[in-house]
Amino acid sequence: MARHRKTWSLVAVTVCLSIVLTSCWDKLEMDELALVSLIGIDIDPEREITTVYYQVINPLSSATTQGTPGPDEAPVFTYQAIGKSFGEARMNIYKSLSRQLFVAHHQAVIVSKRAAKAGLRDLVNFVEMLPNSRTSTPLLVADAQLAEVMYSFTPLERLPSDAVDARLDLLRKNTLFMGKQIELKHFIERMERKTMTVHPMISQTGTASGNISDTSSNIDARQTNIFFNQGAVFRDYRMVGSLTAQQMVWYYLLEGEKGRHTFRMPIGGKPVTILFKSVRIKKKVERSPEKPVVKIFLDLELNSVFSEEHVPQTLVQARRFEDAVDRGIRKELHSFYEMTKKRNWDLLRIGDLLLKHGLATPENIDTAAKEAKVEFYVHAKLGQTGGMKQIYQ
Amino acid sequence: MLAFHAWFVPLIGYVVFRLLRRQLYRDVILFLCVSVPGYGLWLGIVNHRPIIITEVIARIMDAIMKVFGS
Amino acid sequence: MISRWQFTLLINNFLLGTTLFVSIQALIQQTQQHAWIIPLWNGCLGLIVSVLWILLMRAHPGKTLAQILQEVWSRPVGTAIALLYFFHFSSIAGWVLHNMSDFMNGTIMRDTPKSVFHIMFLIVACYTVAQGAEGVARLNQLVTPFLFLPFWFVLLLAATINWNWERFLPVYPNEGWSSLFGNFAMLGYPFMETIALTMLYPYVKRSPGRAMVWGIGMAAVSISAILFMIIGLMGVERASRLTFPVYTVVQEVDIGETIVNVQSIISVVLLILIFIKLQVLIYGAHNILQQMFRPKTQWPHLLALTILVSALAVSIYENGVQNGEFIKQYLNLYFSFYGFFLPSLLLLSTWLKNAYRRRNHGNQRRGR
Repeated sequence: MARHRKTWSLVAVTVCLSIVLTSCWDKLEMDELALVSLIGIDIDPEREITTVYYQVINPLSSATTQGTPGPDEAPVFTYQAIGKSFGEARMNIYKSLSRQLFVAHHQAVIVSKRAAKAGLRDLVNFVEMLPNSRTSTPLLVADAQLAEVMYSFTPLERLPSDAVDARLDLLRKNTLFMGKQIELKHFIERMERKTMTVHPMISQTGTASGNISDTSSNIDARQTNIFFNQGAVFRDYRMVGSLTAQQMVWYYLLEGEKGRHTFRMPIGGKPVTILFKSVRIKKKVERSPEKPVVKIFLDLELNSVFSEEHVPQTLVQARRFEDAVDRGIRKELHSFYEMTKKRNWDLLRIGDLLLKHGLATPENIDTAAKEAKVEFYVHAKLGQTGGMKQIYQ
Repeated sequence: MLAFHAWFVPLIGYVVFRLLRRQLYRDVILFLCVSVPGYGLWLGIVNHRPIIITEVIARIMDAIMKVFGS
Repeated sequence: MISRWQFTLLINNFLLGTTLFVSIQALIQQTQQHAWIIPLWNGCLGLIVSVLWILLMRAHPGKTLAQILQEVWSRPVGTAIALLYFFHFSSIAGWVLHNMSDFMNGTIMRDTPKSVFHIMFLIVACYTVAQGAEGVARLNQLVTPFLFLPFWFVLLLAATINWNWERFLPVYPNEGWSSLFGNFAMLGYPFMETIALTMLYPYVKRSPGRAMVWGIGMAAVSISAILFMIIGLMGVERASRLTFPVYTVVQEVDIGETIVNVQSIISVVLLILIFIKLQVLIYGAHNILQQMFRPKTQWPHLLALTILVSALAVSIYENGVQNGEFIKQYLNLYFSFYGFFLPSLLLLSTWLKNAYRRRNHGNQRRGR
């Protein structure tokens, strides 16, 4: 025994250490987790009640080794938690939910319109304080009743969160209705910097259906679908208004988003559909004796693939095409700017720009932004043409 | 409390016993001098009234600063 | 014997240790977008103080701090001061452990009791320390590429999508440049703690002084670069409010929706850095005991050290708020006592003793 002491002590240590291999205080079994894909927030300011909706993925609704699911198996279940604050609601979810909440993989946060109007500062504080929450998911505002949105399925996508996520992606790439900075963390940064931001709004079309067979057996995709058509404007954590889809295009163009947009405008008296792609935006500030001048230079690339009404044949026609587009877009941008000025929204972030160039101080930023003169210079160039050099007339 | 002592006393007792058997008296004293303060601190922890070290240091420093009149 | 590069890496990782998640939020709150200048400035001051230590160690070649104390001041006084240092290193070790368990409990593992983390780390640290100085340094050298590369890879990955230069504006600080240079938030912690490395100093093969200077310089630049990345990736508004900005920055990395949730990599990197810091401190504390009292065994005293440090780890501070208050009001003074005051007294005593000896004993062998 004494001779093999080293061996025996090694064995003893190994046996003692094997205790730490059994389990652990923080273990998480997969089938004890509720994987949340979508979160909905509603605040009732009069009765001071916070309702949080968690859309939990049903693990039995995807193909497993045990077999494929039936056609009526709901892919998600929406749970509702009510409390006087977010913390209380978070605790109260366990009154109805039988698994441990796991929000790390959620794909979007939807807030109701009245919650957005009441102010989202509490939500932001709650999310940032939780150790496992991420703020890198899109923040959306629901134009319809939030309960309707959370309790209904969407056609084509089994998980509503997939529908939302994929839609945002497609909109961002193919239109300018969406930008890149729509996540909660961008919201926080903009609000803290005292600038304004725009987040997409969801509406409901048709009647919401909480029955998967209703949704998947109905040919009319309008009946039970969610719809992105507006943008919610936020200032100081509160929603102060909304933008239409077309206005959102101009907003994102001026934000410097790279994307494409198809737009119908009069060229030479006739309405022509043009597809433009934003290439570059530059903002210059010039100091002049009376008030500063902000010059915004926008470079666009045109594509006549959708212009079935008119395709330029000669260089002269092409130049006239480009000039007309220049003028048209400049007019649209100018009327967008006038609209924001009238509503007292600094959506072009002129104040920030002046602050950076030292032409304004944090105190007089609003008046300086309003007094500044803004000029738009659009330069469109025809890049690609469509499949036909000449249209049938 | 019982669980704490059930761990502690045999552990220290065993080590002291082994050291005494080899007649390493200096080692025993050094061992006890380091582990007895540890035991004192642990008693406080087990009773949920830990002795907060940084508070003690802060108080000592305040007293010294007062002596120097700054 | 430790090589020069191993010593440099050891100092670098020791300084990075818990700094990455303890001081960041408070520093950004105080100095906003100029926070990355503070480590460079305080690092310069730390370098100047380290010259003091290098001079001290050069005056007594081949001796560690504990042995110098006994030699310069008599055995009883030297032993008493060495015990002070023993308590200092043990309490910093406890502090480091408590910071680490706060981090683990606050982010990934919420239910595990604190002492489980403390004791597990201590057992492994004691085992490594029992192998001697080479074990500590060699382990660090082996592990450093696995820390450096994933950490910066993940941060740079995050920078490809989240970077925004506007977060550094305005360039001119609100209260002027002098307010930045009056900020010593990083001086006491971590730069004054490097005195613990003087316990390993005599075991370095060649030019340990240069290695020390390099190590402190590298660490100052690293901390500054990390702060720079955090401000650029997250912005001052959020970084000054979150408890663990580094962790949150990495949590939000989302590349093509494929590379997500990489915060586990960072957690492992941070844990290993803390472990290295703990090792050095335990080595320092253990060797003070060994060199003061020269016991015949090793492991009972390591066991006693584990008991003491695990107790200190729970008792060292109450919560994040009290810890923050202590750091703001007392830390610089307290650490400077051990890092600047005592070593300068030692150096002064050494010079006086040498001068006295040279004057009174003519041609005899000099102390150098």
